Amino acid sequence: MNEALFDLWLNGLMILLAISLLICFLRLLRGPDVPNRTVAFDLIGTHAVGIFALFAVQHSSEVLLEGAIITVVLGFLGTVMLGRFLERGQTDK
Amino acid sequence: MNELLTDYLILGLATVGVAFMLISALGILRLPDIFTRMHAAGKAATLGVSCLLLTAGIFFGKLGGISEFWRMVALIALFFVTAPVATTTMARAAYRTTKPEDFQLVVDEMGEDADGK
Repeated sequence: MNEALFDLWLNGLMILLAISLLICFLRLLRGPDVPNRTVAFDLIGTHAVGIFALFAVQHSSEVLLEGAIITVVLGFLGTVMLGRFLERGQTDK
Repeated sequence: MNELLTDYLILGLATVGVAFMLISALGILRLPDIFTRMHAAGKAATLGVSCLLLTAGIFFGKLGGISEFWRMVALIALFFVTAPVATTTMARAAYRTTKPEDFQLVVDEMGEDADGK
């Protein structure tokens, strides 16, 4: 396939993914309470992994995939930790 | 595999993945309460990011060795293991911390259990 077309297509997808990430940040800003914001944060972590993958393909550098793996694990740990923290705060009252 | 076909496969998978990510972002913005938002974030985003990771796996599998491809498959498996755990924990925390008027439920099995015992 034409090299320029391949790059152009990936750039367009990258722009769409950035818009999608911006929408997630809008929910993080507006979310009425902490659980809503935590869900938005989880989705932002997922978007970061997707952006890592697309960026690695765009610049053909496999090193970035290590970053994707670490982001998956840290996002999972952060979400579970916030969930446990919310429940703990509730039961102590 | 055919070179051209692999390129089309990469672009197609990436497009499907980005489309699902966009759908999940729209869902988290537009849906009315926390559980429906969690539904958008938990399912559509997992499918979208799986497609994107498979894109990277096929691209680097074509470029370098097959080991990159299998590593991405393992990462997708990790996603499929961790995403339900995280979403379930958050759903339970949200149920216990939010007032019942703030979300719309058709059945409330957790509340029935709490009342019955």
